[in-house]
Amino acid sequence: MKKSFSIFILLFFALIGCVEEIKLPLRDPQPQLVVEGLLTDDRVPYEVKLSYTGVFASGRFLPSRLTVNGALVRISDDKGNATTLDQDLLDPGTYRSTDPDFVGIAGRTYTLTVITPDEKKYASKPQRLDAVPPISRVYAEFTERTRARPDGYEIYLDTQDPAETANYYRWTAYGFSNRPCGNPYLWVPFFSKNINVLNDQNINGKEVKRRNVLFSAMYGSGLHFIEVAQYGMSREAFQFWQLYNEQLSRTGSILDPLPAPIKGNVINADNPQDIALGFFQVSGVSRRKLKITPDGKFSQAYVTDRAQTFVKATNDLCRNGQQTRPRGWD
Amino acid sequence: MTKYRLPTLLFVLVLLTQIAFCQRFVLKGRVFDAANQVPIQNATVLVRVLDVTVKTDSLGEFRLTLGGKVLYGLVVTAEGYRTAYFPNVILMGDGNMDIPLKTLAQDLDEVTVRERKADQNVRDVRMGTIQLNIQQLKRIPVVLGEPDILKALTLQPGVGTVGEGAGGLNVRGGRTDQNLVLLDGAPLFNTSHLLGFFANVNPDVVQSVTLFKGGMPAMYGGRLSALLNMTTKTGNTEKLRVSGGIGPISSRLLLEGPILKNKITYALGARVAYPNWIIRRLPERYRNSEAFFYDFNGRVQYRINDRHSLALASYRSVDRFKFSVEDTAYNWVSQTASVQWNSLLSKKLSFSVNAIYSNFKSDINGQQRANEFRVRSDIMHRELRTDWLYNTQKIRFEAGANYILHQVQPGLQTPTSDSSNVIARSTQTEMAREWATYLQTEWTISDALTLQAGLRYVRYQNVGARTVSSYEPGVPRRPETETDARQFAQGQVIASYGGFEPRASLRLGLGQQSSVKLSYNRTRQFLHLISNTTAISPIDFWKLSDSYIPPQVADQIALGLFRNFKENTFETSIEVFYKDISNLVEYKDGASLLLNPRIETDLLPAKGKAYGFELSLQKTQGKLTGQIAYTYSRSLVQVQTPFASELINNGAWYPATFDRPHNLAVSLQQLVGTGVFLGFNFVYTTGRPATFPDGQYRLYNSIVPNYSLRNSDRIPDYIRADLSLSIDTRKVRTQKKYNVWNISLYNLLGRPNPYSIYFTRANTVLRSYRLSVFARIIPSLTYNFYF
Repeated sequence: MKKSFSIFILLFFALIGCVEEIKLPLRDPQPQLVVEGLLTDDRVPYEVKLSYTGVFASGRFLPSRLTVNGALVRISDDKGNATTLDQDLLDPGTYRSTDPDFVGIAGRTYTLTVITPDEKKYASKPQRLDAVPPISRVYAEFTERTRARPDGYEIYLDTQDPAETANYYRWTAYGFSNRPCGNPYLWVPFFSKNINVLNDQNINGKEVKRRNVLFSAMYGSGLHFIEVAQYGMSREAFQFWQLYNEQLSRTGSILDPLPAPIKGNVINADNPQDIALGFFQVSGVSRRKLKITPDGKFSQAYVTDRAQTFVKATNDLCRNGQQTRPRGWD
Repeated sequence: MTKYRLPTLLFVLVLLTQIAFCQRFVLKGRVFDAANQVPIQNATVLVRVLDVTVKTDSLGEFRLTLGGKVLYGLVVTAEGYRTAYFPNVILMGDGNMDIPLKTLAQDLDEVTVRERKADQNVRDVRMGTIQLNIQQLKRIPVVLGEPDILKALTLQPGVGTVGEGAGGLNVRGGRTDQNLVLLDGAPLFNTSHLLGFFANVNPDVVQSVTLFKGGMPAMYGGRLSALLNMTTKTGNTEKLRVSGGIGPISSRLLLEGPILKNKITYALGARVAYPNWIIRRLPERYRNSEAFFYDFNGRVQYRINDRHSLALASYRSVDRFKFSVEDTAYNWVSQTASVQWNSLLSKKLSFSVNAIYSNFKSDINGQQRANEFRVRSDIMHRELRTDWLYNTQKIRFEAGANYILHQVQPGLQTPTSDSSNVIARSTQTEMAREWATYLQTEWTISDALTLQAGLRYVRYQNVGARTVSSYEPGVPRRPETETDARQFAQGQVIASYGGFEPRASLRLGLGQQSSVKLSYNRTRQFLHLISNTTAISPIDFWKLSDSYIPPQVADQIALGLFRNFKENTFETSIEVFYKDISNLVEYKDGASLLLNPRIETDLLPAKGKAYGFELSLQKTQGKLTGQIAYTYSRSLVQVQTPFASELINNGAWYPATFDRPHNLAVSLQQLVGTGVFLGFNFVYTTGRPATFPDGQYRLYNSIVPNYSLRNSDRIPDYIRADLSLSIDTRKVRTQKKYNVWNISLYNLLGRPNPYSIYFTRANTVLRSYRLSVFARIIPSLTYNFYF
């Protein structure tokens, strides 16, 4: 509704008013460290990405060279175990754990430390790893096409929330489906885009039911492979995701909430007001897969015809397509 | 014979004076406003033959000692009133005269009206007050043909606004919700039409407008920064008068006249807008949008007898706006009603009793199929008050008390159809009681020294029924840190605040033409407009002080130097002020406010300070009149929290969203021919603060702009000049039927003044745009008629 007001004002006075792109005075703020890290209780390697903020100028792309290379990145737990993450030389700014024995364990507390090449030391607040309840069910429901999207499946999950603790969830999902990328069709991966978080305040101890996690569009008559991940996390991490989500949905008009930075949990050890952007998230995770076999009535010709008008919009997904059927869904 | 003439004449004269001296009688008189019996101070009574003048005192009384049995002529004049002549006065003994004067405003005589006395700015103990000349409104340039009280006030020193088309006033670095806006005693919670573009009070019905920027009288409280007191017309006592106006956005009509001659009068004013012709020219997709507003004022005045009068006033303002693309309709309604009983117990003692009701509702209606909903919020104010005045020439006492019931529903969302997917959500209704008592005295110690001292005591209680959450100590307050919820019963006290509010002004006269004034006042505010946007928007709502949100408190000191030149033709002043504010309501980064049941978790207390100085040069007489005002004013905020993660701008002071340091306003009117005025405005203000991204970064494959410092940028400066020509068709001043035309050229320079800078993301690239609202010359024509 806020958005509509700004649009209205814009339009109402468009006859007499005007809109121009402007170049704001370039500011050269001190680059700030950005941390994107995740440690879970399932598989290694764990990944931490480091970069700096870049200058903002209207219409300018963010250069990719703002990655932080040559930093010393360590994750340690409260039992005295620690591991150093090695930089991936092909993927600038990305650090991965290599020690196969260093696996997140529920109940332990983890700290990320980063020493940047300019000798600044950052440390995360200690983050406790809490196990997350398993996903009880993942299921799909067919939905008819609308003006905005083709026929497809809405993916839902159910999970049982434990009553004794305050729980915070985030769900991600990805899948593979058949898409016309020229001929033959390819298996194209796709990901959930929304930030899907929930706190259990309103449902504590009950079941999380019919949580929508992904939409799998139907471009071909073949199978859909879906994997859903359920992350448990701390209250702080939950708050971070909420703010991140709000930040991405802002339009920046006079009727928008005042813009604000998203503060994370990684802090300069020598200057408590130097708070890095991004977040070091420590999460229990549970995953569940789903294979969807479309109804026999959806012939290839029928589906192709129904999805015709939407194909163009998703062509760029074909870049990641593969001819072989993805492994792990048997 | 001739040689005796002179001595004889001298003899006769001496004899006459001797006789006159022997037969002296006392003529006492009282001069008062014919419409409401209010005594007129400083009226001049001229005795024609003797060329003797006396002035009336604060009770409107005068006393003359004259010789008896001689024919005199009396001429009674007062600023703003029609002169009264008494050509045949012969005193046969001591006598009394009641002299009612009619206001010039009732005659709609625009040429000579001045609602204030010539030297008031120097003589009055109060400072920081602005009396707007309502009649002049039709002579100054206007935008889209709408004469606008609030826009006229922004040309005054110390009064600003966040931007063109933004509602509300920022007075001396105060927020828009810190102004107590009274219309016939009833507070208005919204002051604008059409998303803030026009003021919602019809200027035709308004009799007087006074803005107190500081030195708020002890009689008033409940808001921090300013008091804007508007009263409406009481109605013509003689016969029915019809006046009105037609402009490009709205038309106005005012009817006033007697129901019972000299007993009951009425004034009814209405304004209806038709902005849809603009919308019809929008691109087709938006053409089904609708906008509409109207307002209505009604007042009935009953003069029971010489001592008692009763007044009933009511006001309603309605805005409706439907946005076709989102199928959403927005409605805002203000409604007030007040009853006032005025009573004169003796010549020195009077009192009034008021019952006041005011209500503001806003309503958002979603009409999209399967998602029909309604979000309603409203605030209700019910007040009972009595004010007493004891007045002698030397000293003036005022005392009184009031009791207010506040009721606020911050937000209530309901689905409006059975098939709607929207869930019902609501915030709890808030209730509070507020009562206050005050005493104020104005003591004219000597001609050069006047002291006005007031003390107000106010008590406020937030009461149930309500559930109040408590939160884990030592961590930032968040919905997730709630530990307990306590239920309070109906009427049970949840939180209680209050205290004394001293108000004082001192005037030291330096001769007849200049004075120095000093004022101090403390104010408290228990109501907060919750708005995390730059401009007032229709989705803002009000919130009462509760156990988590203490009242805002402000202390203001001001010092002023006033000097008039050339028989009060030029008025100059310098005022310096400093304001210290505690418990301002600020918002956490990324706060979500509407329909938030635990809003205290998104609010932060802040300190505020505002300071500056105001220079004003005003020419009040002659063919060229007008004012040049320059204001330097700052308004800064600092968030108070023990948690580093909640600090705004690392805990440093930062500018408030309406902090616009330099402000120059020139407003001139030149008489160029009989009834023809040229009006000119020039405005320069520093651009308002804004938060631009000062960096961007990549996180989880999205480009995220980083807004690290709140309000550390500014949009470009604002410069505007306007010109108007107004033509009054009267040949003589007393002509009753006439027209006034106003032709305005708004934004003569055609400068695209920035209204906002905004950012739009296209794929992974952010772009910045400037929106200008009135980007070219806006011509308009308004026709006003008086029948």
